[in-house]
Amino acid sequence: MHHCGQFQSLGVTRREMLRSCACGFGSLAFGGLTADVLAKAGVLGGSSGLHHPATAKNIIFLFMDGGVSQVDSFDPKPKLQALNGQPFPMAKERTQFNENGLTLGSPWKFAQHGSSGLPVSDLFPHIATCTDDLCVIRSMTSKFSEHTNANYFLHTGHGMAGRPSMGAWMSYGLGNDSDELPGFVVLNGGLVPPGGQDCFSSGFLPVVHQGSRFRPDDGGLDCVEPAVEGLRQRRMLDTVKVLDNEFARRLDHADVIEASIRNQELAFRMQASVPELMELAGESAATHALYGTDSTYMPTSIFARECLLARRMVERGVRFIELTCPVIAGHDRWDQHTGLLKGHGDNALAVDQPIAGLLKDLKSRGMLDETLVLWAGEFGRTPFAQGTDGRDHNPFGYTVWMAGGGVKPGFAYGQTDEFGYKVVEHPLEMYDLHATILHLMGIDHRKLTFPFGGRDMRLTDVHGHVVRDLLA
Amino acid sequence: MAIQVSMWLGVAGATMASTAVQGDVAAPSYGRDIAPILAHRCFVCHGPDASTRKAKLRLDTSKGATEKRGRRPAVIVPGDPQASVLWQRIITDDLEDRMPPADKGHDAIPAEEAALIHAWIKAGAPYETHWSWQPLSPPEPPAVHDASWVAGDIDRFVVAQLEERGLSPVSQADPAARLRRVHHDLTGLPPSPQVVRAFLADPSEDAWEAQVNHLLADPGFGETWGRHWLDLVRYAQTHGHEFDYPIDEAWRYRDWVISALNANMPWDQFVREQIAGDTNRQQRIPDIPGLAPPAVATGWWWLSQGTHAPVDVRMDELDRIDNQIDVFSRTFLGTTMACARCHDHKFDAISQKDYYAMVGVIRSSRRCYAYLDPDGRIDKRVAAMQHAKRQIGSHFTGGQESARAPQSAIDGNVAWDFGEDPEAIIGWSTSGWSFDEALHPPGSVLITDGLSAGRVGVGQINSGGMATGLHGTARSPSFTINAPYVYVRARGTRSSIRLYVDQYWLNDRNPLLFESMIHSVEDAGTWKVFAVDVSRYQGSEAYMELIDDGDGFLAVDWIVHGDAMADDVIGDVAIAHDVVELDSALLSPLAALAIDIPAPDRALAMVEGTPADSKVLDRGNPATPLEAANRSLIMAFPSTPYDSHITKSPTLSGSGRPGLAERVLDPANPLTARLAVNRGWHHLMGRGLSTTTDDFGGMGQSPSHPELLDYLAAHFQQDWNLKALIKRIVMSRTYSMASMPITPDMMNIDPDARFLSRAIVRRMSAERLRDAMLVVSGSLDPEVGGPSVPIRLRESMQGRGRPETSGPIDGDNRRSIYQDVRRNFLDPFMTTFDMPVPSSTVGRRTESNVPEQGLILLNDSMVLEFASRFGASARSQVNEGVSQEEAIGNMIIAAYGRLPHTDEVELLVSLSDDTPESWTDIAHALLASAEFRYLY
Repeated sequence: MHHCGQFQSLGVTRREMLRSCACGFGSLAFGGLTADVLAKAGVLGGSSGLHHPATAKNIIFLFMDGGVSQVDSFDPKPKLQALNGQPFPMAKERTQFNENGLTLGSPWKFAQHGSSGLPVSDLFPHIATCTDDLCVIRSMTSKFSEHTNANYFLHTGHGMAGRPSMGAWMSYGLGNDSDELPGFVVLNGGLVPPGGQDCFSSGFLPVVHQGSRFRPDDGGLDCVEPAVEGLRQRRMLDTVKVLDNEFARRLDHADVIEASIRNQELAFRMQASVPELMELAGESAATHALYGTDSTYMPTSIFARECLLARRMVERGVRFIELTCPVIAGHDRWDQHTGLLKGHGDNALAVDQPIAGLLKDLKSRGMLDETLVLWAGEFGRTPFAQGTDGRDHNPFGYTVWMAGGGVKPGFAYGQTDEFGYKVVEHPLEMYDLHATILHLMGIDHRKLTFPFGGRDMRLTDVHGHVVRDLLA
Repeated sequence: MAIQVSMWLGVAGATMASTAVQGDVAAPSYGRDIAPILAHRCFVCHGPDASTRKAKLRLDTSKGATEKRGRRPAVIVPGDPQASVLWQRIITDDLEDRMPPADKGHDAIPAEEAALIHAWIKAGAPYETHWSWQPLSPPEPPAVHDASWVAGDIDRFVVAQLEERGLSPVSQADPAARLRRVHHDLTGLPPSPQVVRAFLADPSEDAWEAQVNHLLADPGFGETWGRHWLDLVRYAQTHGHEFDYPIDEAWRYRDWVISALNANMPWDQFVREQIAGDTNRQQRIPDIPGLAPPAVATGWWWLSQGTHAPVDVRMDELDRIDNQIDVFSRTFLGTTMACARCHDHKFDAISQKDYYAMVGVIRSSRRCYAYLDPDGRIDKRVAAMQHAKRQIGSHFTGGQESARAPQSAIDGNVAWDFGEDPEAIIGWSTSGWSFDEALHPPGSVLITDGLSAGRVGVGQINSGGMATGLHGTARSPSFTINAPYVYVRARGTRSSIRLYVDQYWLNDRNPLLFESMIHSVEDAGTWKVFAVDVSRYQGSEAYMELIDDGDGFLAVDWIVHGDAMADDVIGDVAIAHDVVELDSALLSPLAALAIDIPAPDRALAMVEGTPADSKVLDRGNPATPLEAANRSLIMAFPSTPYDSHITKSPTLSGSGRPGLAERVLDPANPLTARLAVNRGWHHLMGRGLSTTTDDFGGMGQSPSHPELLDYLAAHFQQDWNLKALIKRIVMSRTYSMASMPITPDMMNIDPDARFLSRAIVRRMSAERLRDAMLVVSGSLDPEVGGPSVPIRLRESMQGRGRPETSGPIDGDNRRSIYQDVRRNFLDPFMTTFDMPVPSSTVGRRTESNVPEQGLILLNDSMVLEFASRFGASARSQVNEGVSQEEAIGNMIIAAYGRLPHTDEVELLVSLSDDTPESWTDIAHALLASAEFRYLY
């Protein structure tokens, strides 16, 4: 180990290290150099946080692709019900489909739940039993009305492709606590959000921080299944190892060669560790029942597998796990421009029990305290109809929630107007959400930077405030 | 001038050791040493951007730093650090007083940087032009103590710097390593075993030069250096976003790049054609046979991401232009102009006005598909037809199309009336052929396809006046939408009319929100009125396109802006076409020419639009326009970047792009040559002399060898000869350095080889790794150019816009540059080995080292396929009587480009049991081994 081990003693700045270290922080962690070694090098703060003590060590991001309607889920609006079918009384902004209709009341009923009394509609009967753990933000906003731009914005803090995703920033900033899994995993339930892989990109960060896309089925990961039978592969790989060691010796043990030798070994081990991770037979019947992995409704069972796998990944040290929604025939995603009742109903059926199961399971295992669960879409939906029975995109005010990881439980923050259209109190920009999440992870969003394109780039660009009211 | 820094060691501590060689250092240079520190730590509040400047203090100019501000003292007293407030404020222990401010979360300036600032103030705080903007004058190659190592001028610069630091360079790499290096660097392919053996038998300098000449002439040169260029212009063949719509014909730009580089097109022309090739009507000098016309070179402007159905189409346009400016400024100027969208640049003297000057240039240009006539066949035919038509015209009498419907029935503002106003055509532009003689006043004669002749009753633009088989497009000047509808009266077949709003084009893939912007015209005999609903787009800029797609024609007699109109007002008018029979002997020459007209090719291009300046937008917001910014290139340029904008460059003519190209190439602009040379060095040596290949501004890295960079750049600027530059570098001894042994001195003084004490061990790019697999497995199809091979789809590649079928596993054995680049379906093999995501300029790829690479090398079916072929060819040698040892030895020469070692042959032989599988395993082991993918 020349190169990387030497930075401290040479007084090379962190900036130069980022530029010249071929392998990146995360791969150092992969290679056996964990975060605390790097912390000694003055690079990382270790798993206890980079700039200050962290309240969350891992994140599970439940990405509600397409945009859940706030007025049908967590933001009740009696006035909307009262004016159902009447002309919408507020001025309407331009919308994606420009097909704006009358005021559309919610077909779901709201009730207060738990000792916190937070209202949740009967769209989410299972999540409603977890309200005392939720920190609901009813004043979220986005800058974009189109899925793709809004997805990039939610994931990367910028409306165009090319910037690193939240998970990549976490992996870069905090390293990875797993020896055998990547630091940023996307559990892909079948739907790929508009914008594709760029939502999970490492952008200008080293590629090691890119989201590795796992499928929730048995295989899990591309190329993880051995192409040839085990003994034969081992023999081949042993040969590679002899060749590589000899090559490394001839090159004075150049660090890039040593690192690639370690990576080849790790790849070999991942062929076993990934299937072990994906194998859920060892989980108890009660756990399966809690998540709904055996549900007869296929989308529920897929998302239940994702949620259960997310917990198993947290146990194995994966820093950031993003879950995408399963395919639901006829109305994929939460994007109900028509048929709100059926579409939102089916989507909720797919994710409701698994999400509640995840929250309860994390809590009962004592993991919720250090695991931040984020539930968010790229925008909300209009309180007026698109056509007669759908809702269009609405970036002007919508709901996201967090749980665990140091957020205030059983708490609702911010307000939209009496129709649930626009924020009227405590507006949150995407940058604020990102800044707050980074804060929970022990990171000062102003200090987590990477030099690119002539600037020190940040997840929050030049914006963002930590919303202290959300912290426990 | 050298100054003592030993007094500083006490304060600055041990971190100074690396810079404080022998206790003396050269006086810090503002551009090289100080500006980067101040830019990074101070300029956000005390830099060029007046809008965020604090305490009226600016540190980017000598005046700002050394003169009093009102009653406040100057912060720098040249020559006297202790008396300088700046110095006191950065070293103070009082956190409330310290700069940069602790309460804003800033750290103190590190000791080594503080030491430089101290030394600089002590030396008189001399400000000078930022290094990259300084005029280019070739320095004399320095004298060196040990000339034995030196083979040329480049080596003198390198050795002189090493000697200054008490180092000596390593010896030359062994011949096999050098040969493999130069093959990969110049053509992206490994040397064949025959070439390896021949060179090892005669590794003389003459043989080396012959190799270099041969490689520079190989088509693989353009493919390899072309790929470097494509990284800069974020080359892709789809628009990404939700549906990943294709960018038709993008590959023609890729082929232009490859061909231009292979032809060694002079670099100035390479730049000029890409910025404004469409405006170049002259024959290229020198002519490059087979190279697409210059307009094709402008295609890169449009290879951006694209949003369909943008709710705010103006913002969508501005976002796209922002990307175009970013790519343009970083690719051609090494300058980060995109920073100035919302405010003056924080670190460089680029004002917000400069940014909107570029916005004006781009908005004065348009996206189009240019017509290509590869060998001039269509041009020749049209010339012959024009001649034949003139013979007929004078013989025509009588015959008249019925008169028009009264235009006065239309309630609106006439935009263009081609029947009444012979000047209506002014400002329109045409491309292709069918609109060449398209304006026909009432009574003029139309002879179509040499078969029918008639006199028009209604004055009109008519693209069918000579032959329906011709293609063409006519474009209106830009106008501001100020009424809810645009009406167009037209007739024709196989043709269309199209309105562009704020240059938005993806409605041809998805019409949402732009439903009536495109109309097909499919009735030759009836004048119909087509309504374009622009009620959502009041105040937007628009223009009209009239498109004749061949095998038909398009006639338009007027275009009107107006309110919604009743159907009966805008009703159809059938024409009674009174065709006159002419003597067939007269017509037949034209008729013979009008059939089987070859169809043109198409290429994505930028063309001139209606020239107009853009307004500066406050905070980048189109709702708050400020003053206009005249179309020009960075005003501070090429004067000092840290001075205020003294000179204002004049508004450029037309869109401004031709003038822009000339300013980029102006001999007084040193950036273009420095950028090109530094990138060349980067690709050949693994790292640029300045490591920030796309940012030569205040936040960029100053070069490790500034004199060497200038020496090469000054020569390059004389002849703009890329191949000569590359040859100069690869013929140097520096290029051929070994990567080891690494001495303790090197480890201490030059740990990352920045000062070129040795070569860097480099991993091959994704493309080269795959291409090397193609070569060693005997698979490579060397064909150059053409449409791309469809991408191989994997299980994980899901989402909207997914191609229906997967491409072949072996990519049809074509080189990687010919594989499709779909933004939402990038090849995982390529991205895992660091092919960049095509979003903006990437001159320097990351070189990652991750376990996913190991998984791909172990289990990817493509790798297995190539291993199987590689093994099978060795096995067939054995079946033909070659010994196992020799067959494996041949594999090693192919894979590693060197002679085999006995022990590795024995190792691999031990894997063989004569089965095809065992030979696959041997091949697989070689392909997965580190030596296969590293250059050393």
